[in-house]
Amino acid sequence: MSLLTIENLRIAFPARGGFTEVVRGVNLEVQQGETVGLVGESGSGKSLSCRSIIRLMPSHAQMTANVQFDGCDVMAMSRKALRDHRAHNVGMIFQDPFSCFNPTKRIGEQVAETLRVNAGMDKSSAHARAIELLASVEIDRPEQRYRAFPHELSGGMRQRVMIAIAISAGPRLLIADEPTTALDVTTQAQILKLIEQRRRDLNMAVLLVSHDFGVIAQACQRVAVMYGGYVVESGPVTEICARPQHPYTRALLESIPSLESAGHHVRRAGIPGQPPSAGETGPGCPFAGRCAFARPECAGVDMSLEVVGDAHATACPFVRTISATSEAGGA
Amino acid sequence: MSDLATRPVMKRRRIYRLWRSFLRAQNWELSTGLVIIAIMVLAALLAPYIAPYHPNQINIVDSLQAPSWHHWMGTDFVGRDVFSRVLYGLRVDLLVVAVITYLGLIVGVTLGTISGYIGGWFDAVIGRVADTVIAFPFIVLVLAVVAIVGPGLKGVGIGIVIVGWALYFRLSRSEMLVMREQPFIMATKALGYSHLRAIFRHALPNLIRTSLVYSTVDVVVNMLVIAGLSYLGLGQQAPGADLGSIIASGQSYLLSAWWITTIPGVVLMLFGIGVSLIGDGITRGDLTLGSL
Amino acid sequence: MGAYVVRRIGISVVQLLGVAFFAFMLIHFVPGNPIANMLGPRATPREIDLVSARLGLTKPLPQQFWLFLVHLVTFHFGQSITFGQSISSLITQRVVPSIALISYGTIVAIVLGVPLAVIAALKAETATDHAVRVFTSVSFAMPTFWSGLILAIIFGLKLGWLPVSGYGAGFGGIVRSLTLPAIALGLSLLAVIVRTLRSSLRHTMALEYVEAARARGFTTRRVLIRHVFRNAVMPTVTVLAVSVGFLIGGTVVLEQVFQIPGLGTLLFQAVEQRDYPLVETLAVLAGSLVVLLNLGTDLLQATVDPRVRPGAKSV
Ligand SMILES: Nc1ncnc2c1ncn2[C@@H]1O[C@H](COP(=O)(O)OP(=O)(O)O)[C@@H](O)[C@H]1O
Ligand code: SF4
Ligand SMILES: [Mg+2]
Repeated sequence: MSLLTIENLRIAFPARGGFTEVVRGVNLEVQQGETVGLVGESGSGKSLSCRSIIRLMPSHAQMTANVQFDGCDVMAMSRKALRDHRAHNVGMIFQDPFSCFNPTKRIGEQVAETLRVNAGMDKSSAHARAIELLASVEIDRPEQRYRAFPHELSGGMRQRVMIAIAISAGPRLLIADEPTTALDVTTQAQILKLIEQRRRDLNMAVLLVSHDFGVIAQACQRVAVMYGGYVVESGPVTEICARPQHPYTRALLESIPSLESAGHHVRRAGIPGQPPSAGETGPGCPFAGRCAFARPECAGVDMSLEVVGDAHATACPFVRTISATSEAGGA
Repeated sequence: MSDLATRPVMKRRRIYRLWRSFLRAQNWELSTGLVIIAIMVLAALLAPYIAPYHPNQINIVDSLQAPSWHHWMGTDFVGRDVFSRVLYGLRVDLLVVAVITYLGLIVGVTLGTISGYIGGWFDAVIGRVADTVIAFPFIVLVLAVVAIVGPGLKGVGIGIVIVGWALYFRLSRSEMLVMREQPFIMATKALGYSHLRAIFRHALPNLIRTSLVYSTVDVVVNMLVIAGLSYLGLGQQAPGADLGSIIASGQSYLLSAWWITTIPGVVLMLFGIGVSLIGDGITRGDLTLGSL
Repeated sequence: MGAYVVRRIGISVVQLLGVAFFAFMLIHFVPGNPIANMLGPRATPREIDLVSARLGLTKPLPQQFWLFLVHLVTFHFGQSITFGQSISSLITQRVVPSIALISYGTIVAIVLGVPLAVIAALKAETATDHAVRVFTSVSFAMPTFWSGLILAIIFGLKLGWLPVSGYGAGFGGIVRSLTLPAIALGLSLLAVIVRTLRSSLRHTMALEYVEAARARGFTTRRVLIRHVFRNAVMPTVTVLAVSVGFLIGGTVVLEQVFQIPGLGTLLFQAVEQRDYPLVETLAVLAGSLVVLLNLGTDLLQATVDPRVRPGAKSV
């Protein structure tokens, strides 16, 4: 049985005379101990999708889904059960290490508070354990750093503390929502290595969110590509890197300079055009406006995933004709 | 760069949008506020035509009459018609409050704009004076001025203007500091326009908006201070009446003739609510005293 | 931190000097001869000169100001003309009722305002929020003396629950006699508290660290109290300190309405009698109080929020 199953996740916000759906039927599965990537341009619904796992929605959001975590129905949880779920099953790291700490509390106290509240420790053992945790995320001189205020630490250092808090309860799943986006390249690699290390030691699963395919390719076994509120392609990372099917995935892969994508020698700086903002697209494929292979039928596509290979699926029904044409063109 | 340069244009669009939302009654705060204030201003302007009696006409036989068809708001202890007195009182108060508030605004914005633009010793001196004035409790300073000038609306007015300019000075000075670095001001300098022209043609219209928004708070505070001092007998002097002095005149008859005290207070309150609603409508509630 | 404290105190000293200077200069800048006003229309020029000399108004200005400062700093405020008593003993007699009224009014405003602000912030942009906004607009628009009178009619005269004038004896008596004026004063302050606190609560609740705290499974209560409220409350404290001037104004008028023998009444009498030295002293003291309270909140802010302390050392 998988650790996490999300089926038909839909999230909508009230808008002029109705609702705008910004996540439109996402399915996602995470197995015990594996690292799954969620990739896509900003605004594609990644953050909302991963927050649905702990039902952490903006107050006016409407969310419907079937979310099963380790056999429990997250949508049916009582407030108390949901708090326990957030406290013990799932840890979460955020994108911006500058703003996800309470600026007026010492960082050690913020780690210790989590331990006291969620693990019921008393003051002194929470203090001792917090220092251990800081050491475990490779913060040197943890006793002194315990007393530092957030603004006194560097971004990478803060992200380490964030990881310490997230893993303090020994969660089964760690959600890392763009954990390295705000960091420089060297720190980025260190943080990814640290997450991988902690994953192995604690036998957690990791859901890693990024808009950068390079990061995902480095760290994950499986990946889901999101666009305009849909998962447009999913499968094993190696498979998708070698044989991307969906035109959006191809464009995404082409836009990373460090990755050699098979059969393509033309490289673009980014994907031309802007991603649609929430609710801008009607029925059919949301990528049609930017897709090099768009055709009239694209307006009628139902966006369900079709299997195209070993555990590999895509939402574009025209991939076979597309690979034929692009191979012909590339050759 | 480009979005800063287009700011004045956006301002105009904003005003247009406000106007449209007023017409469509979407911005209920603005519409309600404007209607309340418009009615009050009209009533004050037309007081000589509307008022059924002379405001100071004594008629002892009819003293302390409850509101009726003859006296909508009743009569006071010497039989004067409260409705007529309220109309004339409102006339006095609106005139005084408008003159002193916007006199303070003009002085404050002018000094603040110049201060923010040229800086240096001028800025330092005026800035310290403003700090000092703001440190004093408003009414205490006004009272001190009244002690010197003598009772009457003149002293109250001088006192309020002495204090009132300072906040507008601060507001427009800090706006000017920001504005002066903006592309369209820089551009006017690059084009060889003079400093004064740059300030008055381009920066002032932008600056003054913030001060006008703040004046919706200030006008209410000033109105209450004027009423308070008149209530204390230090503002409008008898036999002339303003809302504060009418309230005071009814104080001895609270139980037998509640209307003398209650009604002018309601009128003051409506004025405050109307102006606050206009302020809310313009800012949609995002400007607080704290953001100053 | 030390350097910040020293600099901040320095600024306040300059402000205090400014307050004293301003009160001192008022008499020379504002039109009218205060001594002639004080003595009334029947005073002869000789009498006016005599009194001016006795008050030291014939000395050169810098010397007058210096003496004024020395007297202020040593608490020798001189004699009141009308009361024939030393100003310091007058102030000591009258200070307690005023401070009690201001504190009581502030407590009323906080007790009413904090829950309203929290509700308005949690239910932002709903009917509840609009209702709170209208309510605070109304309370702000009411003249304090008028709401005091209305409260006196209802709870004092009609229902007979509370006294409508005077200043009771003993703690219970004081509380009873100050309740109605304190409510009137509190209502006038309500809008400022509710609006400031509501907007800083909204601002803080939208910050990512609040979401991070919720993601950890903390209760809403804990998140609100430990993480949101503590960080959102500082602007309100600052605004409260700034509002003391406003409260003092309300007190001056309310003391008249409810016949409370406080500093407000003293100031009013001094103004009526043109007791210029007394007016000047009271004005300087009121201004100084505001300056010192602002100093206090700034230092408090530096203690609560580590980011404000310049030169906070990096670990
Ligand atoms: N609180 C909100 N209110 C309204 N719309 C929102 C809110 N949060 C997110 N959205 C919309 O949902 C879409 C997806 O957001 P998000 O999941 O944060 O995207 P991502 O993490 O992929 O950048 C965005 O287009 C955004 O406009
Ligand atoms: S469905 Fe059409 S528009 Fe969408 S990706 Fe496929 S070809 Fe492009
Ligand atoms: Mg995101």
